[in-house]
Amino acid sequence: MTSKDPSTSVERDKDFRDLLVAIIPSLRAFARGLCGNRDLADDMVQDAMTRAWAARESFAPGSNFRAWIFMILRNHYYTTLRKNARVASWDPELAERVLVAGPTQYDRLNVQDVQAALLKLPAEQREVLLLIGANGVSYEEAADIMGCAVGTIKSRLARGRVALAALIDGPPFEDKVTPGRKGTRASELTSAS
Amino acid sequence: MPKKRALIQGARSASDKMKPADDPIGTALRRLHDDVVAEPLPDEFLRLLGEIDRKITRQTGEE
Repeated sequence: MTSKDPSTSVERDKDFRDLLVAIIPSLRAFARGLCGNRDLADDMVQDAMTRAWAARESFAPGSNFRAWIFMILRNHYYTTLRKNARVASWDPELAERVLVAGPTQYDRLNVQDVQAALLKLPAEQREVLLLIGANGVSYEEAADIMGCAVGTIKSRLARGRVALAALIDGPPFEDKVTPGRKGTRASELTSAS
Repeated sequence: MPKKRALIQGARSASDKMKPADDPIGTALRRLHDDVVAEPLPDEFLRLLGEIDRKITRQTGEE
């Protein structure tokens, strides 16, 4: 009578439920940043929660729950991304605003502009910026979640920051007459693995 | 050899510059996160949790 004891499994399920409740806000923020759409993001989070619940026996109590469920959400995101281009789409008007916004007001970046710029980055850079820059996950945890080396995480983060800064700054002042088509890299979103 | 590598990594991470507090991109990314976290939980999440609660209750055989 160890793990088959019904009272024990109920206790474990209750603990698991508490972990789920506590992680919802972080999951929503991560998903929102990834796909830039509130409804789509919330749908993905609910799917991830349902999958996590169904797979709860495979979660070792005491191990890193955040990394475990972020991995489920992330895998779900990439599956959805491959099936549905809508996930990678963004509001073109928002994207235009990012391009015309000059380097002034750089100290108070508009959150929506940053979100729009994030959506133009390759998905692997977007997710590392969200995990570490927004969610405050460590390099090691991000490496666990993304299934790659810490060095890879660091280089993606560095490249992502440079790319994001370039997008937010927009074209240099001299080029202002031609806002350019920096935003035509949406294909990268769907091609990134 | 692993020890040496750990030392090198340690030295490197110590020399890694922490992002300054006034880093605008870092601030915006955190705000992006904090804004969503501050939102009240939508009803569909409460419904999902309600379903989970019912499944747990059913296990206890107290129907």
